[in-house]
Amino acid sequence: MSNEVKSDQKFESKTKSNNTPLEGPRFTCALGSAIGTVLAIDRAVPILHAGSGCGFANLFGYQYAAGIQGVGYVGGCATPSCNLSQDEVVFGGENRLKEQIENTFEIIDGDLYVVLNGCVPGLIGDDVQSVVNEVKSKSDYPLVHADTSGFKGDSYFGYDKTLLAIIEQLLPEKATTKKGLVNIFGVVPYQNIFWKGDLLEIKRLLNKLGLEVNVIFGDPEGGLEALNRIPAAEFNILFSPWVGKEVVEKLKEKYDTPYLLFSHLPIGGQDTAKFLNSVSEKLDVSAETLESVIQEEARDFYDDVDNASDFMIFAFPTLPFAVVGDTTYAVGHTRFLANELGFIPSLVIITDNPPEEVRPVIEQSLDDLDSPFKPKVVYEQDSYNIRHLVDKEQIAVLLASSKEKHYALDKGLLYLSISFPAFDRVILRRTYTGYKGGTTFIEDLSALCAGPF
Amino acid sequence: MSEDENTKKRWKINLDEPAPLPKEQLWNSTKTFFGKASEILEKSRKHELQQNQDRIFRQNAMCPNFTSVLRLMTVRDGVTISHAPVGCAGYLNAQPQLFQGIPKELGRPELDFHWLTSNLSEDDVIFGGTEKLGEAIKLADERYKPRSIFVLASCASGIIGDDLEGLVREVQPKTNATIVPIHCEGTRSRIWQSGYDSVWHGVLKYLVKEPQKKQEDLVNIPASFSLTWIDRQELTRLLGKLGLRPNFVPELATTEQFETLAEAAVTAPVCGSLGNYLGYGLEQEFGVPFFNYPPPFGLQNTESWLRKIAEFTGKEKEVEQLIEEERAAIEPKLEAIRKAFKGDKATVLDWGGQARGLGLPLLTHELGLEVRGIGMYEYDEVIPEAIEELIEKVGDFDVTVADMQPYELERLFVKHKPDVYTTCPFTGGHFKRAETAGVRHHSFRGDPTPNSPQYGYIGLITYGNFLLRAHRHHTLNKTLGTHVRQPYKQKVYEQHSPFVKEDLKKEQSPLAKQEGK
Repeated sequence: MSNEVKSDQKFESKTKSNNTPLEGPRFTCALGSAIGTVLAIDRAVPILHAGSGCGFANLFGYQYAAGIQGVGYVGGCATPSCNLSQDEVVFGGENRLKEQIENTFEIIDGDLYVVLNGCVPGLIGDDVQSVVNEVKSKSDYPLVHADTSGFKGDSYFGYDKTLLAIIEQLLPEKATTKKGLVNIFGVVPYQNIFWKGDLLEIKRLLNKLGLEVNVIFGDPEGGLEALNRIPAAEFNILFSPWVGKEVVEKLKEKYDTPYLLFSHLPIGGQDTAKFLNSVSEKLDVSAETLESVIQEEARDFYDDVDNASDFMIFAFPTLPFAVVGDTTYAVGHTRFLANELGFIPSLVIITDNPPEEVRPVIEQSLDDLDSPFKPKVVYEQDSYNIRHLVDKEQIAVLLASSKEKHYALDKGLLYLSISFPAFDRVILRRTYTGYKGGTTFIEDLSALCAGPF
Repeated sequence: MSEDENTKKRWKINLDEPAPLPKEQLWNSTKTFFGKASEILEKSRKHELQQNQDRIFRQNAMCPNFTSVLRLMTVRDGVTISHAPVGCAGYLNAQPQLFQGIPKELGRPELDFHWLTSNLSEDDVIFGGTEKLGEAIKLADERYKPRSIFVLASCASGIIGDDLEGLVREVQPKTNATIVPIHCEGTRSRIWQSGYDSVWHGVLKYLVKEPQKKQEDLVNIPASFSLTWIDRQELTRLLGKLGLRPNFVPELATTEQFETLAEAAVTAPVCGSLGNYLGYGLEQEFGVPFFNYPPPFGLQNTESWLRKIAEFTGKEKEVEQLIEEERAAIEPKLEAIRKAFKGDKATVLDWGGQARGLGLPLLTHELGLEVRGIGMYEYDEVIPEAIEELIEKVGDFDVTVADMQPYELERLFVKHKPDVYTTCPFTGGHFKRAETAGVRHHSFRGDPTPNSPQYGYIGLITYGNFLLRAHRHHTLNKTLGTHVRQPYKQKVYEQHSPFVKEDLKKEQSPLAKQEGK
């Protein structure tokens, strides 16, 4: 382990087309993420118009990859699926779909049914929307269709597509705005492995400001109810410079709801206070309320930092670190470690392939650090290239996915899974977001090497 | 032709073809049956099992592509390439975690797995994806210098008509690794286990070499996905006592282990779904003897497995001594478990693949449990004798054959309310019942702890004790059963239809038609 820090690194912003072969990509297809998105809405039932293995491959490759998150109410093998085979490839799958939807209504108890199609219907040309419209005209069950052929896009695309379908097909044309109500977008269930805990921490904090918070996914106030509340929001809050952007744009167009965009989820005292400040400004939260919330939260958080500091001074002496993950997590972790805990930012690998136009926003967040040391920022999706980038760097700590775990341990690095895939930990409501998440992160990082002095 | 010759002829494997016949055609396999064990026996004897019968309500299952992913993900000097959109093979990202938990001192080899995807996009499905696949093969070859590269076809690559063989012919001369195309398109077969056959077809066609020498002490074991590390240790121990060595394929295997498959003395089964194609293929092409039943779990099955191997390796005397020693070592423990279960009049329902469907009833019967029913993910017509033997020993019981379809298993649950239920956790949540000790079959694959085996003699006792503990103390099931919601509507519990299309019920199987029955 070396503490050497190179201060002369420049940004390396590599443009790369997404249309190349990839080694060990860290996301799934449009369908996989759409399944996760629907399952994260309480009592929403996905109906897959897809091959028999699509749901299963994504249970193992997507949900389990997000901290072994279980099948829950109607996930895994319980999820209705047309299980398309050779017959449908030859004769078309529309009849099968009709039969499947009607029987799902009879058998599976849900509040919302969402037909998601995979590659096969997309390739053989099934008119899925017509089938859905036909069934819909004869039944009272809320039914929506999202075209999520696997080849059309990735996890982020699938999340957007599903929400857009719900907005277009389920939500009313007009709504009355409810003052103080906000929707949260940009945290993709499962792709963001701590999604549920993240959303609940954001909700907890904004509730304290007196706002009503609609997190939609894993929402304790119900799934369909949460969706129905979307149009009434005073503001939409987006935690990504690009994921979910189309969704909030659509809501702006349809309901004239303005949105607030953050480049990442805030972690720890500084970023969370900034976040609360921005929200309060836009949503007319009184200065007194804001101040008292920040004071109370910060008091507890810095009390924790204080108590952890005996150990941290010992174990984490200005250690250089690298982060590998989606924008939402990679930026937040880098800022927290660099700005508040004394770690030296060395390398940030962003794995979600953000569009060119938002990259300056990301780079700005990573340049604006309380440190003379600026991290090298690389956009990379190929696991071989990621490994080599990490290998070249003189670091002591690696926050990445479980793909990196074993070679990190072999190199003697402190390693923690913070991004997708995380096959090495079970995640339920854990979060590193906000004040509480900052404390939890310190605990988890310290647990990697805690011991007596 | 005798019945036996007729049968063998039917199961002919044709390696000139790029892909095997789907299981429903090759082994007359089915995934749709509800009834008694005696009925499935009768129907499979008459070739009357239904292949085209299907459900009007279906739930997620696996597919040939996913099963191939499972099979090939841990070949040690191979690289897997998924020729598909990115979602098909995401589970390959689990590679590093699968076996790394085993301490090196327990013999874990150096593991460093890799996979690529051709990452088929909207453009590729219009213009074809072979160019990107060629690039992926080149990357894999350059980056890791593997001995073999497995290329997995998908629904998308199949439907757009990508010519894998053509590409392999073109790029093989420029590639150091042997490229093995696997035709495991998801829509290839309704029976996902056809993917296992696709893998073996590729292995037989591209990797297995003419034997240089005969290795009289080598036993091929086409291992199941669920044969865990510690189970392998038990089988290795037993074979070791006979002076024999197992050749476990494909998990953790090297390419050389595939290449030398034809040198082995015998191919022994763990699971018919997984291993039959390789066994029959090696027998047909290279004369390596094969027996397809039973799997080595449970007392009687383990012993008949060992005796059959001994028959082909000239270890008949040694095996009897081994059996005597091993029995003596476990008998008091087995008796204690049996007494406890008998005293409790405990009933059991098993739900798993064909190996467990046919193996667990006898194992649990030996432990003193009353077998009420089994669920099997598929059934091949290959081994009616196995069912016959089971009925003789265990009595008649209910059989559901379904590719998971947890909804259908609900019916068996409602009917039997078993005390013990053995399952895989992801198959639909039936372990979330307060009244039933719902437990796993096998542990996760890299579990090296002494509590986890299920196979062989040691496995019988550890699994038996585990079931007994669970039977008497299952508070996790109670917690789940009390507090967790089930997704099925109440009225469906009163329905008896298995949701199979009525009009197809009477349709004859293709083989029955062909034989004029």
